[in-house]
Amino acid sequence: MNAWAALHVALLLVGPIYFVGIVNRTKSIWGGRRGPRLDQLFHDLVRLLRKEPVYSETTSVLVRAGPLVALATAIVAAAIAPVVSGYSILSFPYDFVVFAYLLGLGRMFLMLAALDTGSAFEGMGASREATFASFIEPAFFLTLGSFAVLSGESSFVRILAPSGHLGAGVIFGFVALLIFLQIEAARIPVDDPNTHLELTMIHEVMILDHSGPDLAALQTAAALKMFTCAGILAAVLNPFGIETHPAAATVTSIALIAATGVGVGLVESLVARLRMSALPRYALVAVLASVVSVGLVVLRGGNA
Amino acid sequence: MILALVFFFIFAIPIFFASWRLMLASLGVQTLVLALVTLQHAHDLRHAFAAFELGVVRGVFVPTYLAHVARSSRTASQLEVLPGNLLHWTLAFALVVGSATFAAEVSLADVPRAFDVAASASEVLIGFFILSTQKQPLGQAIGALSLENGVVFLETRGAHHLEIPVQVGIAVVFVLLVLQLGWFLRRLAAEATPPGAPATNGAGEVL
Amino acid sequence: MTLVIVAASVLILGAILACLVPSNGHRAAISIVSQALATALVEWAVLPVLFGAAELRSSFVRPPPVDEVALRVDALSAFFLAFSLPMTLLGSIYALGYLEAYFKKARHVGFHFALLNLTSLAFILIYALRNGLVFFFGWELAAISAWLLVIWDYPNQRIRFAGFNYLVSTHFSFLFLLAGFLVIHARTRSWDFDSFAAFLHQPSLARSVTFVLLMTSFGLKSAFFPFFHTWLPRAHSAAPAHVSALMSGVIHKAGLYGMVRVMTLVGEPEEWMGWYVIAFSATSAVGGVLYTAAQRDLKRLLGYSSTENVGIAGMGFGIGCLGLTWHNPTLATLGFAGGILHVLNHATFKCLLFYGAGSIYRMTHTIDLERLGGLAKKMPLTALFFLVGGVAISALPPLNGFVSELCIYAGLLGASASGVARGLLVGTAAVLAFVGAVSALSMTRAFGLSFLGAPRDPTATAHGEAPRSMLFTMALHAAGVVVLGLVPATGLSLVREPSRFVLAGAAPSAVIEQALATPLEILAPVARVGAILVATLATLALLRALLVRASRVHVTWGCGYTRVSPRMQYSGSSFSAQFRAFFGAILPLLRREKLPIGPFPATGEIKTHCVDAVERRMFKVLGEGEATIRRLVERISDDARLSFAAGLAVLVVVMGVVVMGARP
Repeated sequence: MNAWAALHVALLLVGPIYFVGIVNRTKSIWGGRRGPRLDQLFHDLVRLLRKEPVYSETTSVLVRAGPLVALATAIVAAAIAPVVSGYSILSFPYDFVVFAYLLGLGRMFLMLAALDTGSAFEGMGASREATFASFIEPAFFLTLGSFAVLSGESSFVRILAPSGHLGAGVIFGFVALLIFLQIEAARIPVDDPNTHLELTMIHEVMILDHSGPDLAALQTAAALKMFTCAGILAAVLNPFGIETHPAAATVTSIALIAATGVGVGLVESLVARLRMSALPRYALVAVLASVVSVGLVVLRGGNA
Repeated sequence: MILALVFFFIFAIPIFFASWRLMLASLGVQTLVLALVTLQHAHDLRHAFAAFELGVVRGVFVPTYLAHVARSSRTASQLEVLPGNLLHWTLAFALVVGSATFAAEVSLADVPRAFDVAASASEVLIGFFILSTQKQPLGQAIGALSLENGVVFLETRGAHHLEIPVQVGIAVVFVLLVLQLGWFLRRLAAEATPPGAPATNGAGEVL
Repeated sequence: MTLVIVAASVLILGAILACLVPSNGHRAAISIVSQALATALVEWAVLPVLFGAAELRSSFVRPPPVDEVALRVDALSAFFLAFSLPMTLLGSIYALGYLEAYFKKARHVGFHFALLNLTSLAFILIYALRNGLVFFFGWELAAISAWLLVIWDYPNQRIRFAGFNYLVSTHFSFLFLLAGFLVIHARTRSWDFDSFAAFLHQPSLARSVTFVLLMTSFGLKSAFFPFFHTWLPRAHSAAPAHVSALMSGVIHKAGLYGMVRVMTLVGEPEEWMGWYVIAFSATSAVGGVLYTAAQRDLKRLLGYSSTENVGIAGMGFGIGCLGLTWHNPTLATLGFAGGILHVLNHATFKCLLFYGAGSIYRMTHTIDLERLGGLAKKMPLTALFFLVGGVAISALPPLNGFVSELCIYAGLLGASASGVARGLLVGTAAVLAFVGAVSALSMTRAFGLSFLGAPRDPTATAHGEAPRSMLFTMALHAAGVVVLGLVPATGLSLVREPSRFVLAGAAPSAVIEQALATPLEILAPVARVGAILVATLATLALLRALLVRASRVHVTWGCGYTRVSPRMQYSGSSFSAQFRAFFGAILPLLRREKLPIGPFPATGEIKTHCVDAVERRMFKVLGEGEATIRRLVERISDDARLSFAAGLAVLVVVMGVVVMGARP
């Protein structure tokens, strides 16, 4: 599968940029504008890499290490999850547990880098991020646990491989994973990436004091995480398996990811951000959906 | 069997009179009787030493020392070991009945043993009862000594006796404990004379 | 076996000498040397057993009622002995730095160090001896030594109360233990654990009752939530840091040892036993972790975190029990290996975290998160070690917490049950995920508030790094954390023989061999992922070094505020405010305020404190109950008729009971 590995890596490098481009383009078109180029993120990153960073005098080494850890964990997590065409570079039993905890590691260092600046705003963002993440983790595990039971497999790729086992549980799992994407990637209705009011930010406020290559690393990590989550959603819906129909699987997967990007953009344009106090309840919707998913598993008698 | 009954009644009757002097005396007399009987039946140096220790230390020294300490502090004069009302007496009676039932359960056919266990258990339980109703340190000391006496009775009536060095150790520890208790009582009495100085409250604030 | 006995004698000798020798420095030195010698002897004797040698056996006969005292070190005892003694030794070395100020004063530190020796001795008694009565003795010795160690600062009344609270709770645990063993003794007429096993192998009502009694006792000892943990936060806050570390990391693991030992004695547990253990472990994990998120006292926070982690280890043991019931050696291995490994992992990182907290206290004299801040610049090594401990306790890869939790996840999510059981196991996995996420929240909060940013209270600054003995201990623990995480094979090789011991007889040996290889199969790819992560991180760091030639320093962006003060930083209560409000029923907030009023107000203040709901309710019920009974009793004492009536009522009840009992 080496050709697939190479293709997968290439798509992972290029995909996030175009995914962010698609989302922003959709938002712009819906707002009556033409919008930025599809590869605008790439140009932004190049520009940031050339800049000289400014560090606050309150900070220690953590604000310099945080972005690196966030990016490293995002990369390794993307290597584990089945992103494009339902294939992943690293696949082994219970890798979805490693996936979730790697994202947790990245999140922890992001929050620590935010607290390092000694700014009230960044502390606020860290607090919110931590709270909402703790509500969405059980939903992720319940969903993937129920998928694992239904498919009888234990690794991420094989759980989501299309085999007709998933049945009605797919809908609920899809809803839970969609909310998971919105919380992980900080999109509407959880967080607004375009807001300029610190009191309403979650993710954006944590990176206020980062600049230059650090900011580039954080933006890459965020784009990669969003792309990974979109890839997981696409893998859930993809009817073709990479074993049987590789080309069809790849094309469908890319199309589904693009569709997810358009969908995210549409949600951003049409739906308002939820009130901060309502967000735990929104995360609980995900948990409920995944609980229903598990309930379906139990009703079907499970898989011994 | 008879010894158990005698032992028990020496302890139980003064309960109704509720005077601490009488209680201390009864505790002493209990152990003296036990010591004499053990000495009679002693066929071993260990038994003899046990009897001797019982008699001298627990029977004579401890009650007299505590009585002496209590006399020199004036706060003990109003002490009631067990409040003299029907509720407490009935509860004490219930405890005795309970321990008798327990003893019957535990040692089914062995009647002498049942009496021993009953006497010992009832003294232990009444000791706990005294401890739970007493607020004064002297009263609590009497409750603790009743506990000790009950346990010692069962130990002495058992078939197995400890080695002499171990017995010496236990006796020494007990004497040290009683001496410390006496010192503590004297300190409390000395500090209680200026009015409005409460003893340390064991429970702290619940923050 | 003689080595173990010699080690015990060395410890006793060291304890006595530590009390008698004149100078403080010599007392500490003697204690540490004797502990080091005893540790070396015990490790020499016990490590071969841990890696597959035959178990050590010996026995000596005492007169009745003790009868025969069997000394036996099998793989399970070897595991617990192998980490308990070295960690106590490291704790004593830490104490050298922590109690340094007392060495020059007239305070006799010899008793404290002698108690540490006695704690090690208690471990030898608990883990190596197989006689019920001597087990009691070891249990009591550990409890009393721990109590005396906790009240090191006894002039402070709160600390005395915390110690007393601990003493009472540990004796409750002892009462349940006594009850359980007495029930068994009444049936078997012997104190030897082998005869216990013979009784516990037969299903019966007495066995179920004994199981619950013993689990309650061990739950009290190890501080499982919700009823058995109330002594823990107070005791951990009051005790010196190394004592809290040893209590959390080592002494209370005796409760977990008891749990596993009972499970092996039972042989083939019934299904309800496994679910019962999983249920109260999951409750403990969730309750403990919720409380860690809202505490302002760092040591209290770490104490609640211990409750959470013993819950996780208990979950592993429950899964192992279910594996034994369902005749599934793979599930049993994953459960027990995960649980036992979590015991070791928790000891490693919890001690590390407590030592870090002790460093903070030693250098700043406060442990209140709302006052600390910015310590990473003054105490970089402590910050690094605390960060390692914090990442490990949140079970994040690539450190060791993740290794044991993945074993437990594999047990929960694997294909070992069907129907409702499978659904419940998946639900438990979700609970474990929640626990992990909240633990990451609270560790971010703890580390971020104390080490990052700027000091919230200008008086709470450190004037330097912690003493070398403290740093040395922390470095060793951190190294253990990293090695056990990056190379899971080390940890798994340590738990292989204990798992084999627990599974003995459950299946043919070929099947057991295959099952024992499962954890390593699952964790080998994780080691690769860890290595890849580290490599990626290194590459990115290199790239950054190449890209960032120079950088400027400026102030933190203040959104236009010109007079930004450290007090404006996010505080602990604000960080967990939304979370705590969501769980308000379990996490009550005590609020004391004196608000400024009027046109020229005096200073005002607000104090918030997250209190333990269970403890408050318990004290309220006990206090009210006692007050009610006292009022009743006083009224009865004064009123003769009332006392007569009450006495008559009691008499009737008692006679009725006696008559009914006497009826054939």
